Amino acid sequence: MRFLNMLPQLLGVSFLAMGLGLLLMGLGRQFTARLQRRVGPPFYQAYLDVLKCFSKTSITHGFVMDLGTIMSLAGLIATAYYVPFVQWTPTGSGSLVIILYLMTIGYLGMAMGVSASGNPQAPLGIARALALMFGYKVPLVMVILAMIVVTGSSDLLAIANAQQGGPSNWFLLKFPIGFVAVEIAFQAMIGERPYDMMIAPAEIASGPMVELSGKYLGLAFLLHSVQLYVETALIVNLFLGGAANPATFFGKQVLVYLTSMAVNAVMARYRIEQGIAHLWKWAGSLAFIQLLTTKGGF
Amino acid sequence: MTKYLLPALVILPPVLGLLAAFLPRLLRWLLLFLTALATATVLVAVRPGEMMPFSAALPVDALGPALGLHLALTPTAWFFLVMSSLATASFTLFSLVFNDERHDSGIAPLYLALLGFGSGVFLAADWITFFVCWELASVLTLIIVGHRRGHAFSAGLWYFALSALGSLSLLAGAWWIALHNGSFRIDDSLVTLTGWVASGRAAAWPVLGLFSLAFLTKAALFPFHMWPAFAHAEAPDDFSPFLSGVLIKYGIYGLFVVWVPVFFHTPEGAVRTISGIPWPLYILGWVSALTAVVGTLMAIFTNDAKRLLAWSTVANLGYIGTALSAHSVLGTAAALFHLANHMVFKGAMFTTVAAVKWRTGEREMHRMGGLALRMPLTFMTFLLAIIAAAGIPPMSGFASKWMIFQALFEKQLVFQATALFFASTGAFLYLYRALHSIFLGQLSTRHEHVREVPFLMALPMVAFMLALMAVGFAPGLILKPVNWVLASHGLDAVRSNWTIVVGATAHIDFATLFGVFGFAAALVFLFFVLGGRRTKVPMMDNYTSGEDPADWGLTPERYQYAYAFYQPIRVLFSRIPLGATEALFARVARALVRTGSLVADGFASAAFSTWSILLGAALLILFGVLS
Repeated sequence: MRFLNMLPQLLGVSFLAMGLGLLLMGLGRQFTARLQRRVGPPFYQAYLDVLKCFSKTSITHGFVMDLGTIMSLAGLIATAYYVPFVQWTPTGSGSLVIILYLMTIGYLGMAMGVSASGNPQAPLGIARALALMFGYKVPLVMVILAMIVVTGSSDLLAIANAQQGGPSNWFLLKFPIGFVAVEIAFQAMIGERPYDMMIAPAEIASGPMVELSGKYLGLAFLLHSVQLYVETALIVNLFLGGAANPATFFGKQVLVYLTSMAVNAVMARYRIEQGIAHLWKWAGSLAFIQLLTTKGGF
Repeated sequence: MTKYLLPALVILPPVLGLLAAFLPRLLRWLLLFLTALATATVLVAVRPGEMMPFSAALPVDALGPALGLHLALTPTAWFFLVMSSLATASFTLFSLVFNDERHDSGIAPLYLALLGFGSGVFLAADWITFFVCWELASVLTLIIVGHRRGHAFSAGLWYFALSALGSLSLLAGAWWIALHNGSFRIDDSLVTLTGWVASGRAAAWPVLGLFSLAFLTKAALFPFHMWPAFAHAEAPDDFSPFLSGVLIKYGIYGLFVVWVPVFFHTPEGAVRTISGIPWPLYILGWVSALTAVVGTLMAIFTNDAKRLLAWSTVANLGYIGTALSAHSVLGTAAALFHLANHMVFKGAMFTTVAAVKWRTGEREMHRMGGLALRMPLTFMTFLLAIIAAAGIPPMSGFASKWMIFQALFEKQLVFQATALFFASTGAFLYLYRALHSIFLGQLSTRHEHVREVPFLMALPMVAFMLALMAVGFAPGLILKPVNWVLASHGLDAVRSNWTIVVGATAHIDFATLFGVFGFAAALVFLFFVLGGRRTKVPMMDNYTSGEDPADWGLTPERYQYAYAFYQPIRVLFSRIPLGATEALFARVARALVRTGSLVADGFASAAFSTWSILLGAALLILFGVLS
């Protein structure tokens, strides 16, 4: 019964995550274009792209591809149900362990769906993406652990609530070294330069996306949009104190995303092993210092 | 009647094993399956308190303490036995069809005997019974692993050499205590040992060390982590699930039986603590975390499906050890919970790999690919099992991993938690590699005509899938029995009902988690259906700019990206000597083999060794019963 009452809210969050994520994508493209002195596509371009993708016919390579594609978006949307939006989640829980592991089912679905296509470029891109994940997960987790030590809770709602009462209480100021580490990891999480080797346009033919057409590409677009929503919201909740109203919350998300798009616009691509080494060396050691100073010992 | 149930569980299977040696192939395996099923049924039906302990002493008193067969069904033993016998029943049902004329490994009689001695390890109430069963189980495993195959025999020797080292030290530890209190009974000796620890007596630590050596080697914790990669990988394919799912847990059982009473029942301040944890447990925690990391890295770099799974077992024992060493109710419960889950998902993975090898004859992952199209049910089993193994919701593995992390958060063991997160992310890497290399990608022309497994083989797979989902939905299924075990050790229960578990820093409703994921999947499926029409195209009809890959000399096999899948990570770790302990132990093993070649020659004859061991065991037990 409780679950049935939850359904309208779940539906709302699903569309909110996809809608805001697509808006972020459009704003990001517009922003990059302005940096490069182009006119760029309009901010609503991502919506049109998705609608167009869904209206086209597509090819599939069997049930695993269908299953994987559905599983990937479902995993990310389910994650969005646990990420606080304005200090609220439809499930009533913001467990960080759930968030970290539920996101993985999205990646597993994506990886499974595209490698079922049989095109070798797809698993090549996936192998890079997973190797990179090995690089960014550990620094991110170390900073989160530092917050768990301080707040005594592994619930993102509690962590966001602990930062209420103005910017002076934001964890950005309490964990400055950790913030830098997570920002570096964030760049790798959303796969922007210098960590875009998993997509690597013009090198491995867009990697995972190589065999996707029509609605499969549309679902991949939505996957990326929900991923952007979830990951920016994660940073807003972890460091920027959440927000008191939806507009402020989304504003902070835009700020986080555009910062990373600015870095993306001026960087070149790492080789994959350089990328992981860089993440462990910089993000990893900063996160380690943050955790060690917070905990005060092993 | 119930008086003889316990000795029957231990003695009947080896006797049936002797009988089975004279039966035709199919009947042998049927007997094995029925025995495993009967054991599981009996154990599920009884409760620990309803069973009389059984005692039969030998008519000798030369050694002082009474020697003989002493059995008791403690709640801990009951938990381990129920879980392992249910898993074993599924594995043996799989074996029943697996061992057709072409694949018969001929191990059924030995396997049967092993079931009995395995139960004996859990049921033993004194160290002598424990030692005899433990040792016989080890010897039988050596023979099963090395049976009929030369190179596999050396794999078995690895296992045996370590096991012998461990069990001798176990006997020495038991003897040390018996010299003081005059009793080999496990509960007596633990009371004495706890007293020694509490009173700060120096002898406590060497004795505890002697006990633990046996269990640490068996549980494959660092630096004894390399034997499963040899033994589990080289064992007969349908025996590997048992080896990896059940047998390796004996070590954890021993650790649990000795360490939990000793450390939970000593007064505060009797043992020096680090970060609020008694120092031996703190060291065990780091050893286990290191095991998890090393096992994961080795698994990432291996291309052999069975070796990959064996390394993954090592990593999972690392999780279990870390949880156990958190020295809390939550950690102890998490260790037992993860242990039960690991039995199911690792059993499922080894069975599916065995099924694939049964159909294709391949074990090297890069030689397979695209098999999901030919073996969809096997693929689904493997998929659900890796989801559980990677700790991804909504399968069972997530619930236990979440509890392990909660236990570490509670004690603020954040660096151990980091190590486990590292291992857990790595687990996703190697598990996906196995999934991709075996089941996804290009289907080789050699495997064009591969078929799905027969019905009786599919049955245990379906059972595994149901178990993985059921426990993911309702962790209470396992946590209720776990709470009985905790209560029997005088510990508080984990706060939980069927679907909600309360941790240290958060609580989770697993049914909601299951539900919201299902809702999201339904929503996305709706999008999928509403989208444009799709056409199914063959595999090779893909992104090649209209050209035929065959024109460039590309066959489906060459078109499969699987070999050296994580080369960039390998490059990163090229300077770290991950194989160093392996090389060291290889030198020790060579020395052992040189000096002990006489014994090895004797064991190399399977018929001779089988008979001598079974006969020896039968005599010993008969002696115990008659007196």
